[in-house]
Amino acid sequence: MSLFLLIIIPLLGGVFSCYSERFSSDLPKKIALATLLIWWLPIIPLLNNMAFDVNALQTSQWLVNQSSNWIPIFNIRAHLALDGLSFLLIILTLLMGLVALSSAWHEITKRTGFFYLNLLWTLAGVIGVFLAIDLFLFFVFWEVMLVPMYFLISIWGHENRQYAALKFFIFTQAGGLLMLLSMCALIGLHYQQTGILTFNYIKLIQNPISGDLTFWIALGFTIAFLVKLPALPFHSWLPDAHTQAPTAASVILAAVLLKTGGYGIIRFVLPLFPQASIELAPFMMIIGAVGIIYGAMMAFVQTDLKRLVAYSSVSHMGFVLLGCFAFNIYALQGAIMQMLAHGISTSALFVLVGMIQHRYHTRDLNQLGGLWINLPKLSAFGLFFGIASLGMPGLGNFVAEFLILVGSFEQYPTITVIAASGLILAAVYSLLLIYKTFFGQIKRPYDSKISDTNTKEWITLISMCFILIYLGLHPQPIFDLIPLQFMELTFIPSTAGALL
Amino acid sequence: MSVYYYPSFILLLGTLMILIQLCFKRNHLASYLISGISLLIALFAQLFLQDKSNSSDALFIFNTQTQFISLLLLMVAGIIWSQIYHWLKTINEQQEEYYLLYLLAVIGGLIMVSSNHFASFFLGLELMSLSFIGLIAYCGIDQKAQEAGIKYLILSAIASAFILMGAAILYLQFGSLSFSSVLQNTSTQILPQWAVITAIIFIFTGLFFKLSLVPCHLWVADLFEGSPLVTTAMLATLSKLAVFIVLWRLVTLGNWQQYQLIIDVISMVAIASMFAGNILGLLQKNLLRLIAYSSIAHFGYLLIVLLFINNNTVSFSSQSFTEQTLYFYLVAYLFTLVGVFSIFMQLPKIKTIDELTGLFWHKPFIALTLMLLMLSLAGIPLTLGFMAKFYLVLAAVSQQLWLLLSALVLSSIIGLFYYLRVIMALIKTSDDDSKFTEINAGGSSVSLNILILAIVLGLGIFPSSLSQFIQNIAG
Repeated sequence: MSLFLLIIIPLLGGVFSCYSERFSSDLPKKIALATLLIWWLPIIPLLNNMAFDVNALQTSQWLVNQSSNWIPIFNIRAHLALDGLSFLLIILTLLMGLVALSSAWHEITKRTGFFYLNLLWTLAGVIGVFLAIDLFLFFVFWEVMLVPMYFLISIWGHENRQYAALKFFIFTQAGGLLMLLSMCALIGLHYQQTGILTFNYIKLIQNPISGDLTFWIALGFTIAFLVKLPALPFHSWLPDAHTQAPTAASVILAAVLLKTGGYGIIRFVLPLFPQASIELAPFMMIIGAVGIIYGAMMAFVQTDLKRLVAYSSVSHMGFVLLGCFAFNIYALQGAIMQMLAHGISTSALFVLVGMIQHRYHTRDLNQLGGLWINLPKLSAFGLFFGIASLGMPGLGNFVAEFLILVGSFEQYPTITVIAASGLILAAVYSLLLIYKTFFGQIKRPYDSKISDTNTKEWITLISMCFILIYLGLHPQPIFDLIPLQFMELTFIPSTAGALL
Repeated sequence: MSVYYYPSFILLLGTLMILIQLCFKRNHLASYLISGISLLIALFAQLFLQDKSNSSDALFIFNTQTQFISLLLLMVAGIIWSQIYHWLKTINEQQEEYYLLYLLAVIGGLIMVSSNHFASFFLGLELMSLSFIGLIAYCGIDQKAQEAGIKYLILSAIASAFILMGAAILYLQFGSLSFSSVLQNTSTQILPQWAVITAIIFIFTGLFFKLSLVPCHLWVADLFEGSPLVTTAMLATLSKLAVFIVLWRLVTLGNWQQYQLIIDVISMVAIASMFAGNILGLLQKNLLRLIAYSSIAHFGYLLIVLLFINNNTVSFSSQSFTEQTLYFYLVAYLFTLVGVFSIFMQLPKIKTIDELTGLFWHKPFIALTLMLLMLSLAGIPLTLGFMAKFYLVLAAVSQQLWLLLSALVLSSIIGLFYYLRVIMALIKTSDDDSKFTEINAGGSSVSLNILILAIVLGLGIFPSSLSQFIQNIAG
């Protein structure tokens, strides 16, 4: 039952922490911390047979596979399964949960119980998305995780929170409805072609559907995931949601919620619709490349720190899209690495912005400047993560972006060259961010009342630094975990595979 | 007399008892109890009838489906009944007659859902409509209620006239008014086809009026706003349920989908209702008007089931699955709507969305229930409303009704906006707590809320028992 525990623990923890507010407004966060720590317990036995037993990875894709009856009339089962990819993303989710808690610790003072309930339930929904292998169950988690996130933004957000929360919810719901439609069409076609009514992913990928409708079904799924990623025409909810959300919610949003989009493409679109996704690939590559450039250019002109980081997310997630649709093993590995590295570096930037806002009550780039004299440690972290986001070799983001570009160059040289210029633009906006906030003209004279990072913040940030350095220096264990050989992915055979 | 008449007969008996009681001594509580007990006994009688074999006579048909719908109708009536007492105590009118009219409307509904003849259908329809006129205009002092009553009187008379005209033309063609004979022998054409289609359109006009589908929807918002809350709840649930079942029976029995024009009309009405309902609801300030528009949209969605033809594109969309979709959707929508109305009855002073501001922080349980009901109406997973939408989408996809499906998706996204507005108002912070003083948060309303939550959330998370039950019914 360990996989079901992964979902039940945060749900219960959330209820307890909401209830405990009656006794003290400090109690909810402690209970949330305890929940987040207990949450690791079901993972530990998995760590044992994953990280230290590479043979297990060689034999089958699914390391743990649990299911029970749910709605027999449609043959829907509560089917959770874990493979290397979902394992990595779950670890990321749990880590980022701790980071979010750390950033919320002092920031959230009102209605703490309900806040931590929503925080934990969002995380539970995300974990559910990463584990669900039954399409219907996946859809349920996909939609349900939005509701607590909506509350997080619309209750504890900044000045324009209602608008941002509404936009976030409606965009993602629209994608979700499209997915529901495509899912029903997929099930119907599969039933028509094989006579089996099933929502089971493992059974569905064994007999990919064929016919004229396949392309449209694949497109429906892809658009639903593109909205979440977010890719270009559907990205406009992200800057608003990020800007208005409280820091903890921004961290969750950037670190894990966006990753569900990339995960969905890798897990569902590519294996379920091998032919259609090859037909879709050129469009997706273009959208990805345009997104990279557009996101970077938009980031460059922002004056709001959070908006800047949000647009840099759009740019970085363009690389994920590029990597997913290159049909090349390096590019795909790069895409997964990008999801992890971006999750950590961007959420670290959001944490930093949150800290700055907590201290100076502004996120406006023009009002900040020369923070180095006041906050030397915090500024050093800012420098580190800014550089990470521009793709400095030795850090995770570099490995990811390099692999994606190498992988997609073979099939789509022109698009890749255009996308690569995004790296230069990334350097421009990252350095601008660092320059305008931490260095540059001193607009904030020294003030002894404003303290530098405290121990909790320091530990949070330094551990994120180390993870990024590890991902950058020794990424091989991560790649070993991803069971690409079992994922029924088609790769366009490389003629010049000797490139690496 | 056949056992199948017992539920209606028991209700009739209850009505008579209230009448007799009124002759001797007026007593609100006694009328309340008499109506309640007769509803309860009727409900149990209906429950025992579930396993009985099919039977039909000239006027009525009784099979598992009609028994199930009657049971649903009685359950909804029971939940609404449990709230009447509190509400009636607050108005300055004679209270006992309300129960009289209420029971008569329920009997009308029961007659309609099992009718097998235009005569019995029309009797039921008129019994219900005439009782509704009284129920709507019950508060004599209230100008808006008077206006609503007159509106309903005139418009429902016109609708009935349309239905009668349609029935008359069908009689000309088939020489009988019984559903089973009218609708089956289409071989001997006496009238040209356009005459039959005209008759069908006439009947549709009348029924669409009762269902408040576009273009016959203009009355519904004023009526919902003007009439007493309990009456609104009945109008939105009982009357629409009964009328929709008749519409469904006519269309499927008569195989009216054979006419392309009818299919076009239904599709157009469905699409127009989805969009009109959702777009007009967008900026409504009044909660009841919002629910009125939402109900237009929901019956627009439900109209899609009338378009399912047995062309076996994908075989799991058998006739039985279409019926399952219809029943599941009706169950989900009706229980959600009844829940919404009972929450409104617990908030007697609150009329607009703005007045809901901050409710979540003062009365979390009521607000939470309302929130979940709104999510259910919007069709968010883990609620009953989502399962219903899932049934509908699955059935419609297997029939490949892409145009209607895209309308459904687009309009539900628009509709999401106003459901979210309610939720948004609930969680906003407000400075003014005084407006929440009159909230009726007694033990009975809490237990009712728990029941509603159990139905909407419990059956939303574990729908298998309900879907199994409905499969048996429809199978």
